[in-house]
Formats: sequence, C-alpha cells, structure tokens
Amino acid sequence: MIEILSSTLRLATPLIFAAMGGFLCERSGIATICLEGVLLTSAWAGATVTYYTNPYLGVLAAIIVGAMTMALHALLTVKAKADQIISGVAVNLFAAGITPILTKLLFGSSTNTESIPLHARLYSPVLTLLAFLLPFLIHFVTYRTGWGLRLLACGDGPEALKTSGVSPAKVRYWALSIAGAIIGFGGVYLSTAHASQFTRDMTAGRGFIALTALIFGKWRPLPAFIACLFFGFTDALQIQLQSSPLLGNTFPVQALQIFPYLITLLVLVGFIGSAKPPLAIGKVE
Amino acid sequence: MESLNPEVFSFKNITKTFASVLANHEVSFSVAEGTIHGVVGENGAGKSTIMKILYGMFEPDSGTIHFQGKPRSIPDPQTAISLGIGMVHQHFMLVPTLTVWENIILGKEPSKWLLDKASILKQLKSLKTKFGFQVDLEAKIESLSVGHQQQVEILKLLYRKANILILDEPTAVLSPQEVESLFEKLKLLKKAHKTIVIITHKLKEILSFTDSVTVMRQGKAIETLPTSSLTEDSLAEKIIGRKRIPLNFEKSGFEPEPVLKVASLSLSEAHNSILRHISFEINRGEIVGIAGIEGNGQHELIEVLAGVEKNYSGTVILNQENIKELSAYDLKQKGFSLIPPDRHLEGVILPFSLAENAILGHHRDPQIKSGPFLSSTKITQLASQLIQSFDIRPGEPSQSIAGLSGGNQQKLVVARETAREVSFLLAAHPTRGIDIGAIDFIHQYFLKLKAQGTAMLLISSELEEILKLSDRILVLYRGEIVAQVLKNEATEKDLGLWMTGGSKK
Repeated sequence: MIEILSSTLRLATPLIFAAMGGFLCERSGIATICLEGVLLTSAWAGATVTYYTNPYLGVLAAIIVGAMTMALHALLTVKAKADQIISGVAVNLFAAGITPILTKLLFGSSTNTESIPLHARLYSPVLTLLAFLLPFLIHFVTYRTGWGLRLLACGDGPEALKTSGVSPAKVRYWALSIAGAIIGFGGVYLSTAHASQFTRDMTAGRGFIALTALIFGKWRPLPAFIACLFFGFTDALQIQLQSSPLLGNTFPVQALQIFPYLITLLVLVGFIGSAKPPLAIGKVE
Repeated sequence: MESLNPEVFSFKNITKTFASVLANHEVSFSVAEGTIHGVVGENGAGKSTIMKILYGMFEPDSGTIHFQGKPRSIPDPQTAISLGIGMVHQHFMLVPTLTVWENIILGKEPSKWLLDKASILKQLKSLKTKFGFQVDLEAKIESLSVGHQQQVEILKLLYRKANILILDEPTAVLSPQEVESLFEKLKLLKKAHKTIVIITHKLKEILSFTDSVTVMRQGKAIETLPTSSLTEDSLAEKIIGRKRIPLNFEKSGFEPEPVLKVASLSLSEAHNSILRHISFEINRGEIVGIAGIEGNGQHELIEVLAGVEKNYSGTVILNQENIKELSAYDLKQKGFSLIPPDRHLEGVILPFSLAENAILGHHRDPQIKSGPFLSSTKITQLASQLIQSFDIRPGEPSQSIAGLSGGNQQKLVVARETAREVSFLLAAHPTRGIDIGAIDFIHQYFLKLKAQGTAMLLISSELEEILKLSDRILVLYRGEIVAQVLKNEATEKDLGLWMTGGSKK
C-alpha cells in the first residue's frame, strides 16, 4: 500500500508540472497539445547538462529550454497566427526529431544519453514537494491578483482585454514562457530523478495525459492537480500489478501498461463534452 | 444656450481611407463640453470611423484633432484613455466569464499583485450610486441582461475617469424602457460636466435627448446644428440627402378570409416551454406585427411556421392545409415565403454572386434549368430582372454580393422571396441594419404586396416599423402572446410595457 502511494507521488510529479504549464497556456487562450514536446526537450536538456556539470545547472537548463520551446509555440501562434493545433503538432514533431539528433552528436547513440550516477543526480523529493505546492500558488495568482485577472480575460475575452488597454499578445508571450519554464521542471524530473538518463521518446504520452488531467479538472488548477494524482495512481497501480504474482505471469505486460491510457480515453469521452474550455482557444485573431 | 460651453474637442479636415474606400472625407466639426452630442447618419456614412479616430483606434490619413483647443495626435486607445476619452462599442467588450467588478477594473487594476476586493467594491459602489446604476457588482457578465451589460461598460469608463463618453449605437439592443433609463443616466452624467457623444441612426433619440447633432452622409460631415432647430422629417432629409417618399397605403383594410390559422401552438425544449398556447389568424391582405424583445420565442415561432421545427403541439393551418407533414420545401411550393431574420446567416451567401444568390432555395425551379442542369443564361436573366425591378446597385449579376451595401443585399432577398405568387409572407427583421432609403423601398413594397392580397406576419424589434405597417399588433413575451391591439389603439409606451412583462391585455 505504502509502495503504491509513494509511487503515485513520484509518477504524478511530472504530470503536475506539465498540467500547470498547460493551465497557464490554455487560460491565455492558446491550445496546448505541445506539452509532450516541451517535456521532451527539457528532459533532454536537463539530463545532458546534469551529466556535464551539476544538477542545479541541469534544472536551470531544463527551465530555459522548456521556456524556449514554449516560446516557439507562442511565436508560431501569436506572431505568425498559425493554427494552434498545427503549431502544437509541429512543436511535438520538432522535439521528437531534434532530441535524438543532439543525443547522437554528443553521446554517439541516438537512443539515450550517458547514465548519470545517483550521487550526481537531483534529490527528487524537492521537485515533488515543489509540484505539490505549485497548484496552490497558481490558484492564488490566477484568482486573487491583477496578473491572474488579465490571464483569465485573455483566455475568455481577448478583445475586451485589448480595449481595456492591455495587449493580449504580450500576456500570451509571458504566460507561455512561464508555462514552458514550469513544464521544464517536469522534464528534468523525468530524465534525472525518475530515470538516470534521457532516452528517446521517454515522455511516452505524459504530456497528453497532463492535458487530459487539465480538461478533467475543467481548466482549474486544483481539480487538475487532483486529476494528476489520479492518473499517477492508475500508473502506480499498473506497475504494482505487473509485479504481483497473481497477474504478472498470466497477463501480458503490455495489456497492463495500457491501463492509464485507457482511463485517459474513457475520461476524455466522458468529460470533454461537459467541460468548457477558455472561449478564445483555437481562434486566430 | 449650449454654445456658451467651451469646445472640448474638434475635428479639422479629417480624411481616412480603408483600402480604396473613402470612409471620412474632410470631416470637420466640434463638440462643446458638458453636452450630449449626436452623430447621425446611415450605415457606412462614416460616423463610427470618425469617433474611432478620436478614440485612437484608427489613424487619420490627413487632418488634425484639436483637444481642449490644442492640436493633439491620438495614436492609440491608451492615449485616448489618458486624455479622459472612453468608448462603448456597439458590440460590448466584456469578458463573459468574469464578474462585473473584475471587468470594470480589468487593465487598470489598483495592483498587479494582490487585489483587495473589499476596497475595490467599496470604491465601485460609490461610483455606482453617484450616477444611479443598479447593476450587481459580483454577478457574472454572462448572467446579465444587455441593458445591465451596457451599464457595466459605462461604469468601466467612469472608473477610468473618462470625461468624454462615446456610445456607438447604444440603443440598438435595448427595450424602450431600458432606453429611457439609459438616457436618464446620461443626463446625470451631463450634469456632472461629462461630454457624451452618441452615434446612432435613430432619429427619435437624437431629437429627444441630444443638445446638438452632426449629420454625416457618405463620409462627410454635412452639418452640425442645435437639435432644437430640427424636426424628424428635416433630420431624415438631411441624412438621406433628399426628400422622403411618404408611405402609400393603397388599401388600409383587408379581406376577412384567413390565410394562416395558428391554434394553441406550444413548444418546449429541454423542459423549458418556449412557446405557450399561441393562437392567431392572418387574413388575406392583412399585416400582423409581432412586437417583442428578441429571445422571447420569435426564433422558434419562425422555425415552426417555416416548417423546420416539427416538435410542437397545436395546429398551424396554411391555406386550409395542416403544415405538420409539410417540409420547408413543400411549404414554399404552397405560397409560403420567408425573409429570414439574419441576412448574413440565412439570407445570402456572401462569397456567391448576385445571380447565385438570386436562386438560393429555388434551384429546383424548372424555369432556370435546361434539362437536368442549371442554365447560367437563364439564371443571369432572372437575376437581371430582379435587379432591375428592385433597383439593386451595383447591379452586375456576376459580381459577389459581399460588395453590396446591406440595403441592396436585403433588397435582393426580398426580391427573390417574393418573385413568385406569395399568399403568406413571414418577414423577420426585414430592415435590420439597412439604410433609410432601402427601408422606405421595402416598406413601400410590402404595402404593394398587401394590396395584392398577401397575408403577412412581420416580426421586428423596431417598434416604429411594426407601428407603421401592421393592421394588428401582437406582443410576444416569454413565449406567450400577452397583448393584442389594433393599429390605431397602439402606443409605443404601452407596447414597451407589455414587451417587458409589465402587464397583460
């Protein structure tokens, strides 16, 4: 039982970072299916810089690269007025393509970076603690401050915000860059705390699960946080079942691994209709 | 009297073009401080453009703005706001999911960080009571009536310490009572030495509430004069630039021969009753008007009568035939015709040509076919006929209809829908948002149809139109007919009261 619980916390951590980044992005009125790609580039940067220097610079690199990847999405959608879904797909494909190339250049293998010894890795509970505080901080900033008011207005009525003398484009650049930095924590957690190295496509759909958690939480930070815990739990359960003597031998592992994704699918089918996204999402100005 | 007030701003020879369209041409006029000033003209006369230039939304190609006596450039709304100029747009600029107080402070929050809700509410409450606003500060915008949303917009300007308030078509969506209450507040604002500019095409409001008027026509400011020197007719003539044609009632009565009989019509959607026991008849050559604020069941009534909505109880008989089993297409074959409420949504297809729009819904007509195919020669011929008899300009059949003014687009819709024998015409908002010239034309044409024996149901949010044309007026409120009056018994005040659920008759 304790095993499942601690495993839930560990598995939920990257989801929370990604979902909170997604929250800021979607609330500013930009669809954010590129969470996956941002996690991936920041995971790579975190692992690589940690390997060559130390975990602190590794975290910093992940934050910067996460913010830069998200800024690319912002540039495509806000500046170039590209379709938000297409831009998100482009960012995901870009991330999936650039990370193996850079890995190959630096480490000679396109599938993974060199493994980082445990003593040179980040003390992971720090990041988990941060992940558990973050939703409350974001809730407070969004619903109690002037910045938050502008963010909400930007997602639900950018025209109104504009006539009030605030540039929605500016709000979006800020929101997306900060979102990218937050997702960066999730990325570096994946490659240096959850694992000991970056491996190709290691995010394995977590960005999409985080997005689902955001929708499941009806685009509110605290419910989305709960949803992340729920998805973390389903993943933990799946891992436990794999090693359980009851099922482990008779049941194909792949069928168990599908469990969290199946839940994701069911949640999306059941909830996407009743949840209302920010009104400006998907609209090119 | 008003001329004693000092000038607060003026335009000097402002010219503005969009692409190749001349929106403002050498516009010059001035507005005195502490007055209510009307800017009046038809759609496309350039009245919104000139005020948006003052608000910094557009930059003029040439000419200058003088503000408090000095030339001043206003490159963006922020500059305008800092000069104390505020604007309420025709389409409200509010965030529907946020509360009233959040919308008011948006963009000018007392702090970027923690918002002290209690002190904000206190400040807004005193602002609210000072000018007699009643809106609930903690309500969400999406739950408010349009009248209250407008109050929020005005409060938003006052919170920003605006001294010049520009209102773009403020009464287009209001009931007569809401219009009264709006102008009461504007008078209070005027007493507090605020200057108010109202952009409108409604003559009555100009005449009863403004101190001075600027008339605009085809991008030019024709004249600026005190309101007291004007009458409704003289103002209308200045706006359209020629004499008005008086309506010609060839025949005021009708024959007692029912064409349409609606009996106990009810309709529910998701457990909400939308229409409740509606019964009325329309006779040959009779025009029945339905007055009511939009959203009180008009939309559903139109759908039932047009044969689109079948899920109703009660009966609708058109020319002795129950329409329940008839499709929308069948109905058209049986002498029913519809002028749809939203021209751009249902009346025309904007990227299509005039000729293509002229046959919308009539593409099965053998008259425009050769064999199984549509004949472009025949279609062009038909379109040219309609264009000529309705004086539609520019009248090139192959041109896209998007290039025409609203009035000319609507003329094509009316022409198309009445090209064949029509025994019952359902006209929904037939003159919404079009110029006076086209309105006069369409009204005149309706009376011609009436004289020929067409029964007509006129649904409109313009009381003036209903009063002018109808033989009988029904008032629709929350899906119910709450009053029924004959033409000469009806007053605008009574109708307004009934429309807002004031009382029944």
